[in-house]
Amino acid sequence: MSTRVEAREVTVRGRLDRASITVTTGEVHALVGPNGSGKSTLLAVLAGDLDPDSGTVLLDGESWSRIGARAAARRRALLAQETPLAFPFTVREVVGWGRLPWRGTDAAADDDIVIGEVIAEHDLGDVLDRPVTSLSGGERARVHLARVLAQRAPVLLLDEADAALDLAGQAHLDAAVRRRRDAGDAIVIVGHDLGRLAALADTATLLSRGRVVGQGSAASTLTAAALTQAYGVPVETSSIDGRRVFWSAG
Amino acid sequence: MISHVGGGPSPSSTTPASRPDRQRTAIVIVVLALVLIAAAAAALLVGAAETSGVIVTEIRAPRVLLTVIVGAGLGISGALLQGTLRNPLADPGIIGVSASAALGAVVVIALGAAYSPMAGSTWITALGATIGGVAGMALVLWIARAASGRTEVVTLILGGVAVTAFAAAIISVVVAVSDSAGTRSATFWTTGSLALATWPGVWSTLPFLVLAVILAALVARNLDVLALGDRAAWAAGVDVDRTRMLALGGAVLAVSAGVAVVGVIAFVGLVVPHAVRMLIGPRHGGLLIGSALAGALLLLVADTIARTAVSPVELPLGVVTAVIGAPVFVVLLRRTRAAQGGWA
Amino acid sequence: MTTVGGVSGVALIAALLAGCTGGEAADPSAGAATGSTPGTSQSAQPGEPIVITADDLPAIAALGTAGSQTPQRIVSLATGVGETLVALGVADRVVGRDETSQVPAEAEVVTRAHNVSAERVIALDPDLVLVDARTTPPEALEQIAATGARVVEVPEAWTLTDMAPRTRAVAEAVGVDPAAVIATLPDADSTPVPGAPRVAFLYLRGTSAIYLLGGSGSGADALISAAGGVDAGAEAGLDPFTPLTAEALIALDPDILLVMTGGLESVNGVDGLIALPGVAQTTAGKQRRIIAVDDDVLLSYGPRTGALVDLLRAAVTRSMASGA
Repeated sequence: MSTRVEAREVTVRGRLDRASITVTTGEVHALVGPNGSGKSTLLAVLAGDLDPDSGTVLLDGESWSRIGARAAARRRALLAQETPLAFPFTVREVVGWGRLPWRGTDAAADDDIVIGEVIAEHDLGDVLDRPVTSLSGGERARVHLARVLAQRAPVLLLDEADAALDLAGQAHLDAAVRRRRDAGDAIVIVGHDLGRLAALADTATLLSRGRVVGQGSAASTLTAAALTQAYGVPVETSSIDGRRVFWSAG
Repeated sequence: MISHVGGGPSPSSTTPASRPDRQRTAIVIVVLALVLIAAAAAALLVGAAETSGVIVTEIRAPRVLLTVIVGAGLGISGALLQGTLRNPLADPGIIGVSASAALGAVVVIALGAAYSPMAGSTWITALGATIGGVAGMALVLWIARAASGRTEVVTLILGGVAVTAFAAAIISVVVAVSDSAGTRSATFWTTGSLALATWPGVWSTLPFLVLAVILAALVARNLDVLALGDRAAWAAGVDVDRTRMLALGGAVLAVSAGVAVVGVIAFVGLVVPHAVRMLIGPRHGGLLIGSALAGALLLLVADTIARTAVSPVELPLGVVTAVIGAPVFVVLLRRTRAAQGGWA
Repeated sequence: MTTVGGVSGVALIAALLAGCTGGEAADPSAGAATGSTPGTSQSAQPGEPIVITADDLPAIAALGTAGSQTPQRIVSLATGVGETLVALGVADRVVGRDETSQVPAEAEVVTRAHNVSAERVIALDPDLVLVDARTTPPEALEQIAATGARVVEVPEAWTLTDMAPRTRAVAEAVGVDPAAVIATLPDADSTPVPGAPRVAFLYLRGTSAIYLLGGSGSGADALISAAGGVDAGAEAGLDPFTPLTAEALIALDPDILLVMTGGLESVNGVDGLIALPGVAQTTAGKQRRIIAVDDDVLLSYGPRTGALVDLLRAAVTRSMASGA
């Protein structure tokens, strides 16, 4: 187990206060907390989207500030809630963009193989030549998942990527995340569905008002007491068929 | 078309653009190029004067070439702006870049006290127009920049209206106080005319177009990915700021020098990329080449109408392009509004 | 065929007349750019324009005398009527004038860009205001009339035969016998002689086309005919001030170009004129046969028009003698 992505004492004025986090190979890590707690800010810092005011972010031990957009995209992929595609590019084209970071490298030779794999894995073979703008929401989500996985980056960051998904879409996403973990990726997920995150994540960080208030294994971090403290409403938890459920008793 | 469910990957069929797509793009581009060449040849042979060697080399050839340069510039500029701003209504005329370039040219001509109507066809004026275009672009983007950092369709167009009105007002003032024929008339700058096409005009605009083409070639592939939105494009490995800077720079370079010689020509930059996108899809590699060719072709047809339809009278070119372009703009506006669920 | 020229003809003539006086604001150094100094029409070198200035024309003699009916305070807003008033001998009664008249010099100019300032006219307390069909805006004239001043519309003059009726109308308005002045006016318009030199009058400024061609009814066509030439635009049946394509000018192929001095300065002289698309390909351009007349002289039909015609005739003859 080697450290893939690490934040040390990261501060973003007004949003994040000396947060630290470490995610290793083959680990799914959930960032949890109420709205405005700083979890999306922390993910943006990990993604290199946002420069922290202080603290350091390391990707495979190397500081973010020395990595350009292209090289960064070879090391981490980011899937966020979808923004509408501005022009009617086809599925084939959009998925192909996932290989852009590897252009001009030896790995570009694998482009066709990788794209073939993600297209098969996400069941896009039948819509390859259709404009993404004409697809259903579920299909579009699979297109973008296929696109970021085509990057073959060892770190995968999901920023509320499940926000608009139905149950089938969520199941598809979760299965894909597990496969990437088993393949050795380090995965960080920001989301609100505590039950799904608890089932999916190995480890978790609980944030409240920009501070880390709990960190460790998912089971030990996502406790009723800690969540009640962090969310400011009574949170209760139980277990059904071995799967934990959370609800607010407020 | 080809299902991979349950089967192994098939490398040859999974390239980012399928073979038929690329073929179609290539065919459309070749056809456009051939039609453009034919139209240019035809334009060399029609006019009020009897066709002779000197008429062709001194009058029609520079006019045809300048038309092709300006039209190609407008097409490229529109395609770059639409791709960069993720905005289907972007056009150098609509967002105020052309008017600002005209203001830059007018100021340089007036300051230089160049007492010639041909003052627009000089390098220094082309440079002044480019500086004006950059300033106008910066201003309108600043106006249109929402708190979210995204440029919105409505604010972009309204910003363009404001910048255009302001530039037009200053042009009127400069034209009024300057006695130089080089500043020409406010009408010239707002409706555009290729009547002043000469060889110096060709040489003063061509280098700017070449630069714009180079910038367009540099950013074409990254522009595709910008369709995802800034954050996703950046995460996918695109240096968004650099791409945007180069593309906007190319968009300004492609039109400004032309504006100095022929004034503001509306709607070509808007209409052409849409038409080309319908033919060959949104990929910028093909779109930019196709828009350059189609822009040149459209302007060549429009200008040939302008100088021959009511011969010997010269019609203002902007009138011809507006008649073609304004209805298309209305259709696009309505469609965009529908797609965005209406504007307040 | 020429609807575009026709529709905008009136506006263009207004712009043209505005250009007449705007030209005076030119950079003094620009005069040198024409390649000839004012008043040197007798010494123009081959390749340089023949220039006719106001100084080349005789002074206006006062041939009439103010009578008991003559108003005390006259404001002249009719196009180019100032010289006629001077000739009628009422110059000292004129207190205001528009931009198209350079005389009487003492009279205050009460228009700007061809718009009458009602305020400035009323401030002069006139008892007679002369206007013509081009005087604008009508609202200002109504305001002036409302103060009790007599507003009289006189006919315009765009040909030689127009001059006598106008002189008569002006004389009647100011209560002076016009006979002596009318006796000095040139005879009626002449018909062009076949084979006469073909002269194109080009207006060179302020348009979206490169130039406007004079054409029939521009005012210059009658002068050209009287001077023994043929107006190339009128001959081709073009409306006044037609925005012409470069090729159409080449097709007309004039022998001589007639321009206004200010217009020629504005295109950087003869070299600048010949650099315009189409000019170099005409006979006039090839031979550099260019006649430039001072802006305020060319189209002010009045007592000095006879002298202007004589100078023009000499210039046309000399132009044709120059070159190959």
